[in-house]
Amino acid sequence: MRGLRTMACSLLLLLPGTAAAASPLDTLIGVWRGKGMVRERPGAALERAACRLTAHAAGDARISVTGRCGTAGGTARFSIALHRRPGGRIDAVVSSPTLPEDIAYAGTVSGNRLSFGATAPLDIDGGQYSSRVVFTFGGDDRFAMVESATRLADGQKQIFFDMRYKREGETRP
Amino acid sequence: MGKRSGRRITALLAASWLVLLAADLTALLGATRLDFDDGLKDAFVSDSAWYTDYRHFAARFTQTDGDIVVVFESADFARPRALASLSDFALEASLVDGVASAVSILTLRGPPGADGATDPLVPAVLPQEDALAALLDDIRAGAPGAAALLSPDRRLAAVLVSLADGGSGLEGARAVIAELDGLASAVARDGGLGYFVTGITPLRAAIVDGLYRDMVVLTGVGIVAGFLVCLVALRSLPLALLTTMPSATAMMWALGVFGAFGFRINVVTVALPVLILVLSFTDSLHLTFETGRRLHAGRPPHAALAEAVRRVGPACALASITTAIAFAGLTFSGSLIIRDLGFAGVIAGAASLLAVLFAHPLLFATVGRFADLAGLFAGKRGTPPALFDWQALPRLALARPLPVAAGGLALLAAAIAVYPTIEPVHSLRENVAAGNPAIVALDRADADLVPANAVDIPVRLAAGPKGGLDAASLARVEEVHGIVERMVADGTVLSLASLARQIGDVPAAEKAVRLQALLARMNDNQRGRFVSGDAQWALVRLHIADDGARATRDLVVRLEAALARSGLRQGIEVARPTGFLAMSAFVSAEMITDLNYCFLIAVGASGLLTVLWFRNWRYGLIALIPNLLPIAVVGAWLALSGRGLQFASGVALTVAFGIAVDDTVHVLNRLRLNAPPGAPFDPRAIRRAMEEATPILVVTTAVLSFGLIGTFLSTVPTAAYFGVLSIIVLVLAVFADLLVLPACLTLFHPRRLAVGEGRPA
Repeated sequence: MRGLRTMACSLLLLLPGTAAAASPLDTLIGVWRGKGMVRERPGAALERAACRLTAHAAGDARISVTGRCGTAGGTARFSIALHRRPGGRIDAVVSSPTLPEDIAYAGTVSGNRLSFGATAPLDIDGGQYSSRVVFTFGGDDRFAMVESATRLADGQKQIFFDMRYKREGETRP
Repeated sequence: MGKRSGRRITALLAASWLVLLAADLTALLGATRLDFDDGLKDAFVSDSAWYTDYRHFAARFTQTDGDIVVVFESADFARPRALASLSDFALEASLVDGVASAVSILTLRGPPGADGATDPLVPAVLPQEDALAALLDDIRAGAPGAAALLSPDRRLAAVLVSLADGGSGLEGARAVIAELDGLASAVARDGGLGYFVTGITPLRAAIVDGLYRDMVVLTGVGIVAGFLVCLVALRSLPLALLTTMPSATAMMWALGVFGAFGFRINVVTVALPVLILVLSFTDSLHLTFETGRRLHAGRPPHAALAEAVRRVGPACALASITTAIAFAGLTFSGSLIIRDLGFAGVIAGAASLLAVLFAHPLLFATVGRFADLAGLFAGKRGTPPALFDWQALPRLALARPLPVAAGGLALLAAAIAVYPTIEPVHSLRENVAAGNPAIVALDRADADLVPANAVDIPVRLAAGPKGGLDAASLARVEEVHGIVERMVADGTVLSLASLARQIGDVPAAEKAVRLQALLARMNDNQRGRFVSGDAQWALVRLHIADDGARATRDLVVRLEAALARSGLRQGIEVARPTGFLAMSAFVSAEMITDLNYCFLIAVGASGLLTVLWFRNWRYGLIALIPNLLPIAVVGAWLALSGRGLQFASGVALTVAFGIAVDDTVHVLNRLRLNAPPGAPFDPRAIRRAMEEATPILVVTTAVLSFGLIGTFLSTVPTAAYFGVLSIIVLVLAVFADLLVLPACLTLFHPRRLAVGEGRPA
């Protein structure tokens, strides 16, 4: 499902968002639930969506995230491998059975915001798109993530993913 | 008894107790391995063509019986808050581990474009209530499958949750059901909604939940009832306790054997442990009574015990063997679950007999070693009170043998004439109590939404190894869809034709292309509701209420006839209607009919065994009359009352036959013991045999009947029905053995045969 593929790409945002917090990787670790909107394909209407994800440390500079997102039309599983680089940079690779191939992102932290960009154009329904993801953290227990994609051919921009996450449980692990 | 002999006996008793304790511990270990399963999936496993078809297509299409249906109630789902809550639940449900998909009214999408892409019919940002009401009404009227998801008054909305494994693993399903229930509860609380969870899988889980409780209650009631009857019949608390203990041992051994052999407690076998318990009670009682009789005859305790085992043990063994034969008859059934019951019955019966024959003498011998055994039987202790001494029946039979025997034979002939008209009856719901919340919810969902049960009609897609959808195969699907829709006006039909109608007026080839693209975008679970995984078959699914197997068979026959009239090539362009509902309707009829053959096998084998055991063909022939009479009468009543023959009644008749034979065996055994050599029909021996056997037969029938009363408390209605029928058969059997049997035996006396009605000397 194309929309779910987009959603899986967008989940990459999560990782940089974590990096934007005071202890970004530590903040991300735990179980999260998200509610929001996704767009299945360029030009399609926004749809309600929900996500569940779990992040755990996979070494000093790495975090592994697994999860599942769904719309009324179906669900997609995904996994994300995050790697913190020197200089506040974070690399991420998103994998999902709904994606034709893994997608690489690179991000930087600025205050409570984290901006990410796909390292290569995405092919969506035969069109080439650049993908940009912005995370805004509101403390340890919530964050918002918005992904927009811009068609390279004409510069048309659309929101593809707009999701609000809350930590499951009372406190950070 | 010398000191050395006394020590030897004490050592022997100690060794026997060690063996008994070791066997009990082993049985306990086996019993811990007992598994519980509803057995509904196994009930129809057979070689039947209907089952072969079902298995073939069930592997290719998504089955409705794997769905969990969560139904929400609201004043009106056109209220945005209510619909948003429904959406929240559906989204969260789809993320639960073990869930393949969650379909709600919000899942429905518009017609596919050229690339198969579709848009949701309900927008993410919900409109105001009036506009939303109009939108939902439009969707319900026009979108395929919408009727299953929203009631006409918009007060009920369903979320169909499909399990990833299709519901095959009940434990996994149980965890999903629990999580869905938690989610639904939270959403309902936040959104001001009501909700209930139902579907075939929750129903199966509810059945299994009841089975464990049933086994405990049934056996508990069996033990208490058996003990109380023993207490009244033996007029002694110590004797009642000593008689009950071997039965408890027998049941433990039987459960241990079940566990060790991997038998499962299911809707059919749930009554088996209590059956074994009450049967062992009768053996134990026979031994106690005979021990008392020997002691009252002046025999020393150790001799009385040995003689009791020698005199009654063979009859107990024969009675167990005839019961085992009845169970063995069930192993010829076409149903896997009935065959398992047959094997379990044979093995558990043997274990039970061994337990009683070992534990009863051991207990009494131990008591005799350290206390006054004869004192336990002092006075009238160990002698049945007059309450159980129905001597009037055999006296009447012996006084008027010809009319009694003739009456019995006439009744038997009439009942046998009616019995073959009995009709097999089956419904999936018969195993669940009418008030069970899951079945109440299912009824409500069936009535207000769309029935969960369905009849499937597979339609061949494009020719060739790759299959696929083209204009011609789409036309075929549309034709079958139309036939089914016209024939079953109140049914709900869902197929590719439903999706094609949404597309509107475009050429057939274009429609097929768009549908192919749409199918490619669906997940496996959704796609499997329209086409098979190998793209060879499309599915026309008729959702219909389960009105019983007979109604389903009639419907399927009419569907087959209508499809035949259409000119579609059967088996090539369109397959025979299938699905769990259709398959179970036909296979159950075959299997229930099979049970009659199982019963005939049991009758023949037990008759033959009686002849061989007593070495008297006339005993075997005469025994058939009281043995068959109760079963034939109950069978005729089932036929005449229109109740028909269910799995439960078929099994009950066969098993009860085996138990009813026990009474006959004990009468014949008494006759054998009392008859002078060369005079097996000696009138005085018959009279004496009846005097000795009558109270014991009445007591054992009381133990069996009261012991089986626990089945009335079962959560499985078929187990209660089994209990009722068994008790009726047992009571009729005691009348047949006390009335018809002595009359027939008397008529076989050589002098009577020679002179006719004259009373023998």
